Amino acid sequence: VSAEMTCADCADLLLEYAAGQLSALERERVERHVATCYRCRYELAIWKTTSAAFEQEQLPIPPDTHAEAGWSRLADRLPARGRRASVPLIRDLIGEVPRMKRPDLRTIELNSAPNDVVRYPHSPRYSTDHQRLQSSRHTSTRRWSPAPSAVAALLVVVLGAGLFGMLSARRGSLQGPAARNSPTASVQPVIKGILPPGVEVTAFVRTSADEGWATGVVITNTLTGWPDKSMILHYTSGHWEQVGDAQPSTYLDSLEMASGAEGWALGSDGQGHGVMLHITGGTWQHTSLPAAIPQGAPLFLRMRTADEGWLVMSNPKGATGVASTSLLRYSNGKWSLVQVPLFYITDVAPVATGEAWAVGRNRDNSSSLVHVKAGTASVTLTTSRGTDLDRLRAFASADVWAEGTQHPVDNDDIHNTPLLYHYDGSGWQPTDLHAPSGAQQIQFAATGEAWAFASVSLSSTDHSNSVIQSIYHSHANQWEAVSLPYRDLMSLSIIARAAGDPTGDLWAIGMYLVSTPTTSTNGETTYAGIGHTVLLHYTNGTWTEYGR
Amino acid sequence: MAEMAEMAEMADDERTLLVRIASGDEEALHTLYTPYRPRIWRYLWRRLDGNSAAIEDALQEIWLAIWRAAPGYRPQGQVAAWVFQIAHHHVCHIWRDRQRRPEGYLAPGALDPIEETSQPAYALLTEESHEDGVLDRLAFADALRRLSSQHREVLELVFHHGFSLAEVAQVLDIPLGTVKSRVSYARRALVKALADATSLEETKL
Repeated sequence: VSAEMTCADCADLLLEYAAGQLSALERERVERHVATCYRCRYELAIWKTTSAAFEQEQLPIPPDTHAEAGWSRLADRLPARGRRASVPLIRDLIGEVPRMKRPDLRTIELNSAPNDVVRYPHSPRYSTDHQRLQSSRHTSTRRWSPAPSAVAALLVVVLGAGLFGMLSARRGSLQGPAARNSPTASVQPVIKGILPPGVEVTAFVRTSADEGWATGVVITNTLTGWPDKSMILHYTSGHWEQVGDAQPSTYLDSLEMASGAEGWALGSDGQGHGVMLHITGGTWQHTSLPAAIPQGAPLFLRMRTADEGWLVMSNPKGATGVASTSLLRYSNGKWSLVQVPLFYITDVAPVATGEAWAVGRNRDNSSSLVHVKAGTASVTLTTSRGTDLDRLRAFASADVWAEGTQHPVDNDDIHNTPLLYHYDGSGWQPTDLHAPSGAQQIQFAATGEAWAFASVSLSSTDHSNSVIQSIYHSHANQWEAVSLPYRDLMSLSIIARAAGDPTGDLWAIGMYLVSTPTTSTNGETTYAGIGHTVLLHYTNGTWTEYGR
Repeated sequence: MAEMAEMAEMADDERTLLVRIASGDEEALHTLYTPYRPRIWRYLWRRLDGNSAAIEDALQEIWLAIWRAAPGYRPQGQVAAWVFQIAHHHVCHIWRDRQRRPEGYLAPGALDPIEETSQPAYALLTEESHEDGVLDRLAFADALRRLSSQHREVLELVFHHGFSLAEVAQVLDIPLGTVKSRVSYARRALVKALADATSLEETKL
């Protein structure tokens, strides 16, 4: 009937044979082989004995006597279908958001990057002298911890800095000594409104009322989360275009623009080497990193002018497997290392020549604000453990905000509460803006204009993924609810306004969720799914994707 | 053939049940609950060290999860494997909460390599002992107990709960190859235990 089995074929089936799971035909074939094969007979004996041992083991398991009581209790707890008011069903929401073709999807949760450098999401800043307003937002407020092995799933998309207001930039000042042979820039077809298929924005900088630059990635390997390629994108009047060739296997996730025409994109190449691209005149080229820290990867750059700025680099992971950061100052073509008493720097805000505020985390999960001046850094304040101060917004040298959150529960964003400190020129003070209850986070768009976000968990048991349920706008200390552009937004990253433009179009990068029917076959991940970035505009009291 | 047709019919019935559960039919949930609850109970008994309060709580959460997740069920897999996948997932959460150790519930040393015994394992056996399929059961039972939870679970799902290896892969949400390598690891651990027991026997003689 069928060919004789080999030992290898047989070995695959012996376990299931011993467990009584084979069809009659397969059983017969196994038996025929085993009859002539001593070795397989022995293997079968192992599994038969295992089976018998398990049977023996079954005996002490007492019978389940609470089935009926359990059912009564369960029946009372079953939520009615269609009335799960507190947790929105993404698939129900799709019909409510504007109909548009969505680019390819990818899962939100991605494993940590395969290279040796851990790239934690970083945050934003702003430098007052030039009215630069920046915002940045990582997609997860998943708690940073100095034990990265515990952070198996690191969310990767880092939404970057926004810049509004022109800088008096001098071109080419941060080119570094050796520009590698650079691909020539070519303008790709313009895709109106939406991003090119599959592209996620990792950093965005607004350079004028109608223009911005971004870094983007295409990730198809959801196992590693490492991009297939990265690219520089230019956004103008609602159109996106790719500038130059995409960089294969590179992860660009940070951007800084000194003007509408000059900037730097940062990332790493997947082998643990840092990458810095210099954007000038509508094209870009590779530029070398400062030699001061040869092995690190650049995390973010904060330029006060084209001649002066601050670079935060990650250090190679140490024996503990944790990457810390270093701060470098750039001044007139030279890099110098500044010793900062922070384990992991999340933001830097330049405020004057050679002077900046830095914020970041300490090893004990507290955060500190650090003042850097004349090459030395001193801690101004340290928050309690279980708090993150991760973003600075400087609207003037004597009007700086540190935004953060308090985390009463690990890896659980929905129980966070906002934490704000304000610098008024004399010192930092904790500030309570009395945000509506349920708000976990506050971001500033301008001085006196704040946005608050309240998220709900996507699962009743796992609170590590959430979507924004309500957003509130505060003007002159009055909070009002604003309708959501999408009800499945995981995060919204406000790109701060220019100081001189309090009423203009406000921009934000949003990350929204789209569920796929196959992502979840168990109760925990059913409503979690897939994330995408989108550029949103707030005009006339409404958030839209196109701003008109 | 009749047996297979019957099984196919049963599988169809269970899938229909899930469609009804997805549409909010509590009676359908009860129909699924009746045969599956004792099965999950036995599974949890081992995983949660026989702590009946913890098992009862877990059962509640698992059945709520089944209720919530039913709309996401795709009819390509066995309902049983899907149900157990939810149970497994929940147990992982319990363990994670308990231990805050992402590698889960591996026993210390669970991934230490097992040294191969110097001679082929089958040479340790007499013809009679394995012809009956009766190896040293005491040594086996002991070796089973000492397997890491991760390796043991694979064997349990096969022997206690009647899943094929492919279904075990679905339950644990891991590739089939990983299931097979866990089986192979467990087998080596069992054989080694057996070899140790045998050499102990020889020492005594």
